[in-house]
Amino acid sequence: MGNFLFGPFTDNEFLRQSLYAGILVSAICAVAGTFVVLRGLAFAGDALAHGVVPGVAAALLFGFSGVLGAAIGAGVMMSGVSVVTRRYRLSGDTAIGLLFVGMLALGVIIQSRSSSFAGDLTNILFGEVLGVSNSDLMWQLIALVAVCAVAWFCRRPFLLLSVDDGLTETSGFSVKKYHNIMLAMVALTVVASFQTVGTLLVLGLLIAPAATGALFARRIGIMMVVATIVGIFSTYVGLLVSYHANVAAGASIVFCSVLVFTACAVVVEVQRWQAHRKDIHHDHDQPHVHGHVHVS
Amino acid sequence: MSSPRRSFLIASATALLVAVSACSSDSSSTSESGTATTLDTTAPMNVVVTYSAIGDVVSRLVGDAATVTVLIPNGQDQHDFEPSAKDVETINNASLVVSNGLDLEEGLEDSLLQAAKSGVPMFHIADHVTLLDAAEKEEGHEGEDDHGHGTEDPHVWLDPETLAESIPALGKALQLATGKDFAAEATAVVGELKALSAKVREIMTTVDECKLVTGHDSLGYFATRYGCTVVGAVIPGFSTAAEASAGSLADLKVVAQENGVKAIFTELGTPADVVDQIAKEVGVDVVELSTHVLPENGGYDDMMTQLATAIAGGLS
Repeated sequence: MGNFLFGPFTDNEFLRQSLYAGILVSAICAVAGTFVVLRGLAFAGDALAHGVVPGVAAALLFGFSGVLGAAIGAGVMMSGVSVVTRRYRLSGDTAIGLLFVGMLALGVIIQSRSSSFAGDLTNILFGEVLGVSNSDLMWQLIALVAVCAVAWFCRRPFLLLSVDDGLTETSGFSVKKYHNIMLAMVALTVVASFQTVGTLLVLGLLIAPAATGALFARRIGIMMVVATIVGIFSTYVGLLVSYHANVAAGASIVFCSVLVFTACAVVVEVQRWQAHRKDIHHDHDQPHVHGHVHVS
Repeated sequence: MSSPRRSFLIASATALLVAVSACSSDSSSTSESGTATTLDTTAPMNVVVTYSAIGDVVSRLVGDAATVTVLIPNGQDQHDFEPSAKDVETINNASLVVSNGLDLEEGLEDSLLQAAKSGVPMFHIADHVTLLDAAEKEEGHEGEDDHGHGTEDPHVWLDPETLAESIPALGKALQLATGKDFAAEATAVVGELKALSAKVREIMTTVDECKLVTGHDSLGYFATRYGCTVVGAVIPGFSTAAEASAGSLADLKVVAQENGVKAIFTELGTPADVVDQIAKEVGVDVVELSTHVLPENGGYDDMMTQLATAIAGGLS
C-alpha cells in the first residue's frame, strides 16, 4: 500500500519535481483564487489564462522567454478589457468575452504557422507538469511570495471589494485601483502556473480549491488554507492517477480538484438537508402539540 | 452612397486584397527542387505532395513534367498541421495528390477525403509499401500502448528502401495524371534510394548496439532496416498528439536504464521540458533528430544521412 501511494514519488525525481511545483502552484492559486471566487472574477481569470496564449506562441516563434510572452499577453488582455468597458459602455463580461476569443484565436493563428520544436499548442494549453525544472520551481516560489505580499498589503480593500464596491469607496479605497491590482495578482498567478498545468487547466486550480474553501469557511485566511490543502491533495492524487492509470497528468490534477469540490458540496448539502429536516420536525412537532392541546 | 464613403470602401477592399495575397504568398512553399511556388491556372500539371520529405523525392521523379507543391511547410509537424483555405484550394486543383496515408496527416484527412470524392486523383505512399504493424515492433515496449492513432506505423519515409517500394506505383499514378511515361525516372529514383540506404547502413555500422528512445514512436522502419531496437518513446504512440503520463514516463525511465541507452532522441512535437527531466534522471544526453522535416538547404538524402549521423553520434 505504501508503495502504491508513495513509491512513484520516491522512485522518480521528475514526479517529485511535479509535486513540488503542484504544491507551490496550489498555494499561489489558493491565495489569488479565494479573491477570484469572492469577487466573482472567474470569467476574467479564464480570459487572463487564455490571453497569455498568443504571448506564449509568439515567444516560441520569435525565441524569447515564454514567461515574458505570457506576461505581455496578460497585460494586453487586462488593458484591453478596461478600455473596452470604459469607452464603449459594454458590460464587463462582453468585453472579457470579446478579448478572450480574440486572444485565443490569435494564439492559434500564430502557432499554426510556427515551426518551433517546442511550439506545441497542447503544451501551452495543458502544460508540462511532468517536466518541471529547478528554475521553474524558483520562479514559482518568487511568484508565491509576490502574490502573498500583494494579498497581505491589500487585504482591507480586497476584503471590501469582495463584499461591495460602494462600501469600498465609502471606506476610502479606489475601486478601480484595487480591482486592477487584484487582476494583476490573478495575471501573475496565471503566468506562474501555466507552465505546470497549462492555460486551459489553470482556471481549475484557481477556482475549484478556493470554491471548496468558501463552502466551509467564513474567514478569508481559513478559506485560503482549505484551498491550499485541497490543491495539494488534488495534485498528489492527480499525479498518482496519472502514474497508475497512464493518463494525462495535468488534466487528472484539475479533474481531481473539481471532484473534491463536488464531494464537499454534496457533504455540505446533506448537512444542510439534515439540519432542515430537524427544523421541520421541530416545526411539525410544535403545531401538532398545539393542535393536540387545542383539541383537548 | 456618398463618394468619400465609396472611396473608403474601395480603399479598404484593396487593402484587404493586398493583405490576403501577402499572406498567401508564403503559405504554400515548394520543396528544394520544386519549380513553382504558387498555383497558376496556366500551369498544366500540378502535383501536390503533403510534406517536404516525400516532396523532394516526388520532384526528382516528376522533373520538369509538372510543378510540385508541398502543402505542409517544411518545419511543421505533419501530425498537427491544419490546412488554410488556400491549401484546400491547392488540393482541389491538383492533378495528383501524393500523401503519406495511415493518419499521418491527421489535420488534412477531411480535406483529402473531400477532394478524392470530387474526383481528384490520390496516391497514398503507405498503400504501396510493406507495413510494420504495431505488434511486430512492440517487443521492447512495456504495457499496452494504445495511445497512437492506428495500429500501423505511418513513418514509412524514414527508411529509403521502404519508400522505394512505392516509387514504381507512383510512377504509374503520375502517368495516369499527366499522360507522360515515368518508368525510366522511377527506376532511376529507386536506384538513388537504394544507394542512399547503403550510405545510411554504412553510417550505422559504426554503432555497436543501437537502442533507441525517441520523442514519439517514429523510428520503427529505420530501426528494422538498420538493426536497431526502439526500446521506448516519450509519447507512446505513432502521433505526437498523444500525451505522456506519469506512468508511461516512469516506465520509460526504467526501460532506458535497464537497456543502458546512451541518449534520448527528441523530435518535432516532443515536450522538451519533460524530456529534459527524464534525461537528467537517466543520466544521458538529449539529442535532437530531424525525423519529420528536411534540413535547411538540404533534400531527402541529406535528411536521412544527417539522421543516421545524429543517431550514430548520440550512441557512440
